[in-house]
Amino acid sequence: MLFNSIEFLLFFPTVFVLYWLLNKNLGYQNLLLLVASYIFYAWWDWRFLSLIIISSIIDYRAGLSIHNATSPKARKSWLLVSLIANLGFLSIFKYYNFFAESFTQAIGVFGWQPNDLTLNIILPVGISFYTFQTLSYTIDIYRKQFSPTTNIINFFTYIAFFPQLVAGPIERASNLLPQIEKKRIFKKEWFNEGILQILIGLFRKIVIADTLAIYVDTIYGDTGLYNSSTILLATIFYAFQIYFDFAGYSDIAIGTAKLLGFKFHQNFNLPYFSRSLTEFWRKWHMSLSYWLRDYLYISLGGNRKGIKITYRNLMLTMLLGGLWHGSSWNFIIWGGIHGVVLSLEKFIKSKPQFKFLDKLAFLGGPITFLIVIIAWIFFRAQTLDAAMTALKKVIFFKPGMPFMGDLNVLANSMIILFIGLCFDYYLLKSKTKLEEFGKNFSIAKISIVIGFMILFINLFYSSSNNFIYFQF
Amino acid sequence: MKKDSLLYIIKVTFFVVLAAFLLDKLTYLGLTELNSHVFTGQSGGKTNTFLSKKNNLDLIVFGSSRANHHIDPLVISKNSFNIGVDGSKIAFSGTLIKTLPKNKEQTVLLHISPKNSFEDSYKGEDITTLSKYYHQNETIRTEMVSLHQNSPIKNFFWCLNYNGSVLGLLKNYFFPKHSSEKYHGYDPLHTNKEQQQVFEKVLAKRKPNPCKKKLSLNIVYKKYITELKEFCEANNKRLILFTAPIYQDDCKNDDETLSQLLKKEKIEYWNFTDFFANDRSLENWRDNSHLSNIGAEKLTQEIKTLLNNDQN
Repeated sequence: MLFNSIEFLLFFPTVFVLYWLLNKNLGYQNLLLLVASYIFYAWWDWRFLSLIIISSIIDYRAGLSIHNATSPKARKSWLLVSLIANLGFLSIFKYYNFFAESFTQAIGVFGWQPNDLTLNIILPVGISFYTFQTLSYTIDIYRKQFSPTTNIINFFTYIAFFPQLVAGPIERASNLLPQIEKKRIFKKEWFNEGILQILIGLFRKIVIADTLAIYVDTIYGDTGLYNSSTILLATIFYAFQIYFDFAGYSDIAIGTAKLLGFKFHQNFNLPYFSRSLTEFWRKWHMSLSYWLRDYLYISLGGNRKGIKITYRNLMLTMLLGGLWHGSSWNFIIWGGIHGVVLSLEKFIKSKPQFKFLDKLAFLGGPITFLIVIIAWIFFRAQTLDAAMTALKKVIFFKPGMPFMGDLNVLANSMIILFIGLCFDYYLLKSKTKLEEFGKNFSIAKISIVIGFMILFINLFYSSSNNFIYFQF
Repeated sequence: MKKDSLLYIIKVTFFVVLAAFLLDKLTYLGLTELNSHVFTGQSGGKTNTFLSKKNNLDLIVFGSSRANHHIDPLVISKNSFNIGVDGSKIAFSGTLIKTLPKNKEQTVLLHISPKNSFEDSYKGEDITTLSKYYHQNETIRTEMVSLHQNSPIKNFFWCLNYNGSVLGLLKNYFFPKHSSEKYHGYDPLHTNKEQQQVFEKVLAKRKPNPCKKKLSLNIVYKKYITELKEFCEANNKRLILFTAPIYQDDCKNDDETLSQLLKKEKIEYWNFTDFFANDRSLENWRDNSHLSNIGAEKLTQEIKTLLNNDQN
């Protein structure tokens, strides 16, 4: 079920009413959340529910066994069970075809032509997200940072909790599970914040991102056809499309959870105002970047084993982070670009002779944005060839008028984007956290603000596309 | 949940619904007032111009961009209008035809795409372009209801009918492109060298589309073909269906099947798909299915000749 669908418009109020009616009984309330979450997921494809259930059973058992194990070997074995099961599912459903194709191409270089090894596999929605979520649970228990739950319903609800099931934010057990196990209290401030964040998210998604998508999809449909300025404009639009799309999704998820009395972590914090790529990654898809830092980068040794190992770890983390997004070389290159620049920033920061660069800090924002959009070319292009064609056009820039297409679409895109950026700039300047926007609004004020937001959404929404991050 | 929390939710819900309803209606009334003065722009203004002129016209061209950019009605008749609109199909055009005056002699030239006619998935979605007239025009309302294209939410939020057209409407209200008196609906596509080069590149890369083997007339097309024939016969109108030229037409069987179907229905049909078969100059074209102004002039002349021959 999509957040921006009529089904969800009926589904959520029903769940909301039943949920708060059951407030006196935590067990029933959690059971309702679990059933609702499974319905939410099954709306897309009920068959893949079995994957979530199997993952949940394995990790529930693994969590308890790691915790209760008396020997380090047993603890490690149970962790391995969890890792192999979760990463196994992910590898089969997400990466099998990629590795099979790459293998076929690689041995083709030596003249061997094996039969087609690829399989007709559907990627289950949300598998990358809930796999990381379940892994964090068992790893935290293994590291003795968290105690497992003994309530299977609560654990299953944690894995399947519908606001964040299909596209995050990746909420760790240490944050979400204690909230599931504790009685929730309805708070007026959270209600205000939740509703406003849902509507802001909806606006970001169906008004801004989907409007920008029209131009971007046209140009990236065939990058060979258009001139440099067109590709550059489409890439800048894409940078904002993906931001408003995914930040919008996260807003709806965080707002929805808040209406049910849960507090998620912030997932985006105005990343395009960052002055370095390191800062960008502290503000972009924060639940993933912190996951990668805590469970991959630190597990590899982080920065504790010397400078060379630190760079290696950084590169590996970003390459695997790229691969997490999708099984193609484009995503790996995207991760690679980020890895190289992050390493470079680390290198510059560690050398006193580069101190003079501090004076050029004002260039940090534009340079970061430029690097980010160049990397987005690989993220957006359908194939490596298309990405290279687009990249060449941007690097060897030939001035010319960009392709206009439907002028209304272009004008709409510009104006809508301007509104979105103005709002972000307001949040930045007023140091307001979006998650707390509208906290103390009176009933009259919140009603009028929501009334206007609904009006704007009705007048400007674009035909609905799937959320970009669903494909990951 | 505490009683005061419940009361708070009820209060917020009530006032949000009230605020949303009032803002919606006020904005709708304002936009409708503005819209009534707009006579330029592809969808809104053009349709307004058509609705204001339709009772006095003797030739009207209906259809998609392939009607809009291809026929200059003024070359054929002084009392004429081209209400071709980009992206529209038979539901949009058929609905507007039904708004024509009764018993007034008129020639209706309706563009039909054989490919679209046999598309299973088409449900008449293009009629939603006329949404802004839903609360103002009974014919349009009836057609939208019959095609199930009126979302129930639109009954509450009337502004949804202006979705995507506000900026265009404001632009055309404050900066009208031309006078409605002089505008006859034809929007020629002037091309430059760069566009021709793009078209050449597209042609070089182009792969033929697969052709459907089993062709069955789309249910919406079927409905409108039957209803328009009856409407035109009953109201003194000459209905001519036509297909505009295509540079590379991959499928011929849909043309032939449509031609046979229309013949069986005794509906006049002019198929210009291969009109430029002997003149392959790219200056006639904007893209594979759209003529440049040069190509459009040639096609218009041909249609004029055919209509004159029939009169003689």
